[in-house]
Amino acid sequence: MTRRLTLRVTGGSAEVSQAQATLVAWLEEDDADPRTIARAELLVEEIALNALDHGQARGVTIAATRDEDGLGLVFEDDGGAFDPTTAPLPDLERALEEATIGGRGLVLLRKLATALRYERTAEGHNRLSMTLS
Amino acid sequence: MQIVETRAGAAMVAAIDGRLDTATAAEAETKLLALLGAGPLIVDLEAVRYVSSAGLRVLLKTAKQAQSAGVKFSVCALQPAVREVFEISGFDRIIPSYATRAEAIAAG
Repeated sequence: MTRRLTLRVTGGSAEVSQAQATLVAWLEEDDADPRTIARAELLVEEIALNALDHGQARGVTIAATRDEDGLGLVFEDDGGAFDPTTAPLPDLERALEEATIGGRGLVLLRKLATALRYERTAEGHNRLSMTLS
Repeated sequence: MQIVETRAGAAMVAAIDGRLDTATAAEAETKLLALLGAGPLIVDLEAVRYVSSAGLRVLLKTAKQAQSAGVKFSVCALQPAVREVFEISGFDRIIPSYATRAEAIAAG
């Protein structure tokens, strides 16, 4: 059976924390693997806050689907166009003195999500879909 | 999120309890940076189950300032989800990490 959950985030970090808690509780109810739960929780913060803070989105909708194939997440926001699947990543081989502070969220997204897909929708929204294992 | 400071010989241990994320990053940064003058700094993450990129940013900034000031900086007791985030983002290669607080203190 497929279970679905839709969350909407329009504000700052407190609202993102609330959405994370709701998603975690929903996954725990369904006995999801703790690692999947941890990854989903993290990606909600990384993607939603990026859209709100850097993309100036007014809101982010998060649609979660859980079935026998695992957990699917789709994020849609009305912020400026941003494709995280092709954005350049920071150089992770740099030593501490040269290491850059930014871009780590992008690294987490690209490495934790599978089947990561971006599209700019006809309505001018960013739509990012992925599955988590 | 709370930070409890404990002196361990020459070193200062900052034990974080809670989440290290966007909501707590500013407070954590202020507290950790303020501890840099007190000898080698060890951040104990045993009671931290969640670190996002905002939390990583705090640790990297603290590590960089420690290095500029000639102060040793390390982390210890990473939980599985936190370890995964550290490894994926390359932090395990730039910030010394120990399995336990005792090992971090012994490393001086």
